[in-house]
Amino acid sequence: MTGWLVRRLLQSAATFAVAILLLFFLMRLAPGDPLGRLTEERAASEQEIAQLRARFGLDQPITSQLGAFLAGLTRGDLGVSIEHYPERVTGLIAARLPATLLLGGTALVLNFTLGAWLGVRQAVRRGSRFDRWLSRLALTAYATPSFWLGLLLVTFVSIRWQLLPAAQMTDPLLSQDAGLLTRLLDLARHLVLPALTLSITSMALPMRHQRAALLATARLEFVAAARARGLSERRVLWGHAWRAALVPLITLLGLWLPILVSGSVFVEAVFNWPGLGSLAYQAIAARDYPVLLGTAMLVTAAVVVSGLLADLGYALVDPRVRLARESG
Amino acid sequence: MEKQARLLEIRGLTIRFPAGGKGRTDSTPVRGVDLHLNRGEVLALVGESGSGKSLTGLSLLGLVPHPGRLDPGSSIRLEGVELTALRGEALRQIRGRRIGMVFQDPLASLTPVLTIGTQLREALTAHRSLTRSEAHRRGEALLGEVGLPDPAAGYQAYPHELSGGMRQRALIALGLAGEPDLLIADEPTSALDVTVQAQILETLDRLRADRGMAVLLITHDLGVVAGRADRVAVMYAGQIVEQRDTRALFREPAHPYTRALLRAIPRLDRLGEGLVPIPGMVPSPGEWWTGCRFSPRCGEALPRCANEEPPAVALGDDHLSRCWLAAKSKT
Amino acid sequence: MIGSLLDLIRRALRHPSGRTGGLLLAVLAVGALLGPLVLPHPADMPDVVAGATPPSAGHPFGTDQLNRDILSRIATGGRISLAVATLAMTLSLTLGCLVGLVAGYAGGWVDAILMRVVDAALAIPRLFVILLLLVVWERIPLAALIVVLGATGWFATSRLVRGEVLRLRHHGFVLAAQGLGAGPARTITRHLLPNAAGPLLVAATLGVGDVILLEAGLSFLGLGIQPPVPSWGGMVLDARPLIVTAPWTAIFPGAAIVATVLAVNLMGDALQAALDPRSA
Repeated sequence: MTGWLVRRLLQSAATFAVAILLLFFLMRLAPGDPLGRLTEERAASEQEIAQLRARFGLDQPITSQLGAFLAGLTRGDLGVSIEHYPERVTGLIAARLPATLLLGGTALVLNFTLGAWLGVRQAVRRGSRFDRWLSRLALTAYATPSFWLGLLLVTFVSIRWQLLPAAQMTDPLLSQDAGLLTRLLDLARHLVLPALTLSITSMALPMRHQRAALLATARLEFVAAARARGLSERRVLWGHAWRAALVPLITLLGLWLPILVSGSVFVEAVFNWPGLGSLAYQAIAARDYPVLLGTAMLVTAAVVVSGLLADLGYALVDPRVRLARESG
Repeated sequence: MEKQARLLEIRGLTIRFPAGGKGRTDSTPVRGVDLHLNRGEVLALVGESGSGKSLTGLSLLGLVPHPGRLDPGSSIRLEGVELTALRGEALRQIRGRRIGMVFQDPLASLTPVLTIGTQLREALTAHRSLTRSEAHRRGEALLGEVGLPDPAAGYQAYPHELSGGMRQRALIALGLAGEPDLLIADEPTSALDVTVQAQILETLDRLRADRGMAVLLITHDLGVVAGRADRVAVMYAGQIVEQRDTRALFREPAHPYTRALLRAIPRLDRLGEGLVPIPGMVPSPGEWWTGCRFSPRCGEALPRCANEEPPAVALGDDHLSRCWLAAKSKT
Repeated sequence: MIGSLLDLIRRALRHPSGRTGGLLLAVLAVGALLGPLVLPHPADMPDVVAGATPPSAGHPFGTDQLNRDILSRIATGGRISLAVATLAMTLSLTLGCLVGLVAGYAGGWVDAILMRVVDAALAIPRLFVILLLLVVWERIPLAALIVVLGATGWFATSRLVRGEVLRLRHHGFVLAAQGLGAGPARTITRHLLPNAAGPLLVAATLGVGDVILLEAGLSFLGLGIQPPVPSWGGMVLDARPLIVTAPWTAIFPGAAIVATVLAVNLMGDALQAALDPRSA
């Protein structure tokens, strides 16, 4: 088991390393001047520009830029923001990360509980109106742009009907000595719409996945065999068929991150949710490369790690895989 | 003849699979099957693959795979109770508790993600309330009974961690967990090595004797049947073609198919004789016609065999043969 | 190869999703192609004074903040969005096939390196790569947008093609063909591509849906199709300030996106089902 684990870790590390290099070259090779915007807006003098270039190492040959970049990386230094100069990128990201984790995490939980459950129900009632209509609904939701859905929800639910807050994570007017419960409730109220938007537009995937997985396992003999022993239908479905179908769901979990991340850029932009997504959004407007690059790198790392965790989870959940790993 | 306690009575069992698209006919892989079983008896249901024997077994538990269904007029009575009319909870009470089943492929029939112990415990508690530790104890005892060398280890193991023979034994244990009156053993040895086969059959025999269970032994192997079954029903293309007590059947088979099957078995006392295979192939369920289904391959076919379906002819003590030759011999 | 693809499409159209999707696509395509020619109001004649008006007989979808007919803008925008998506997808397919073929055929370290790069590229969320590339320009040229969209979408296709190449390389008929003197080019066109064509079509159709959503999102962020060229995402962006008083300015463009992506995905599903009936 450890042998496999080590190999898998090395593989992930290698993938990440290549990804970092790709990102770096992506940035440096793109046409246009990274500092162009800055010089236009701030009307900096020649001297200042030269200083900035030196500061960002843009006057160096590309190999030494790469070297400096990698060196900085090992120190955990992702550079300095152009827009919020002289704030460090790592600081900006760290400040915004929890909000995105909360939003993304909520959407993830929703998708993999409600979504998976609906998928199972669909498989059980395969071919019924419930099944067909739910599939159509899910597909339509998947085709919906998250920024549009978010805007509509804000317009109607927040502004017109005044049911839930329209933006941000917390109420800026909340008094300083408000109790914990009040704060949590306030957070929850702000979380509802963005999380719903993110979740609805991506729920089709785990739904379909579970439906297909369960249909595949339900046909298998051990399900009929379990039924033959007089187990209740519920036991047969959840204890046997679903339990066996659970395994591919774990792998889906690993692939989930890129979807959530991309979605969160738009949702956070619409709801002004103070997370990484809106940080990226602001960085786009400001042409703030270091921030964008830093965020991209963090997200890539997260994707690689979640893929690794999914593989691990898979091994834990499926005893057959565990055995193969142990001997392999 | 005096009747022993009649446990199972199957009359006119017909299983139909509706046709897929337009212009195609339904297929009936099981047609007009009549069988009966007494308490403590072993009935072997013998046939090639495609004969419908597995489906017959599954129909007793209401497990015919979708979209197959039983034709109205099919009757399966278990000590008077009509099984075909049962649904839901009533059906669940029968499964495992009155009728148990041992499936064919132990690796495919055991849930791969649960331990043997978990599956045993479920089966044990499905029909009687036991505490977890009671169930554990009973489960291990059961595993010992079926001949698992290390029941405690087997209890904790996952299906793929056991050898083929042990898996089959575990499957038998699961079939017995509800303490059924009738055990259906569907090809209990087909997935195993020859050496292990004999052991499994011995075990099954012992268990049956200990519990006074009736067994419906479904197999394609006549060799398995000799000495282990009280009666044999031979099935071909969805119909019972001959039914008789085992000794008599082996001594003087009435139906041409039975005769051909027996000729095809290699025998130690007739070395030197070539094996006589049966020419032709079993017709698939969609290809059947109105005459005797075996007629194209039958060496003794009469002209009427191709067009008219032979009735089941009673030829004496509990002996049936579905053949025009048998009908002729009676007159 | 074309024959088998047409047959696949025909089978897909018999499927309920295929019928709906195909019909919807046809309606949208016709609308996009003929709409701007047929509709009475131009997509572009700003009238700052009049402002947005709700849907009416003359303007079935209402007008936007500059009193331009929304229906016409949606039709014109549809043309652009569909063209961008199709072109980008074509680029992705070409790149994917090329890389997949090279990797599959060459094998060895060329394959190893290429696949390692593909793995790494797949780990980076597509949106971020696109953002990093597009952020350089002040005004993004349409060609650049298409290239960027296309250049970031070939990775999965290359894996697919490579898989087909590896699978078929050792198949009897390929070896036989090569034995008869068929060179790699002939083997590719006559044997490999027809086999891969089905799955590729499915992947391509589903990919177009993703590209449309991406492009709409980018336009919403200001990084996609640049004004005054109408684009659905851009229309939603423009609608943002007046969404409370004039919600139709945002509703219709968004609905157009939903309809198009839905149609494409339905088609993709039907193609998938036609290709592999068990997956329904």
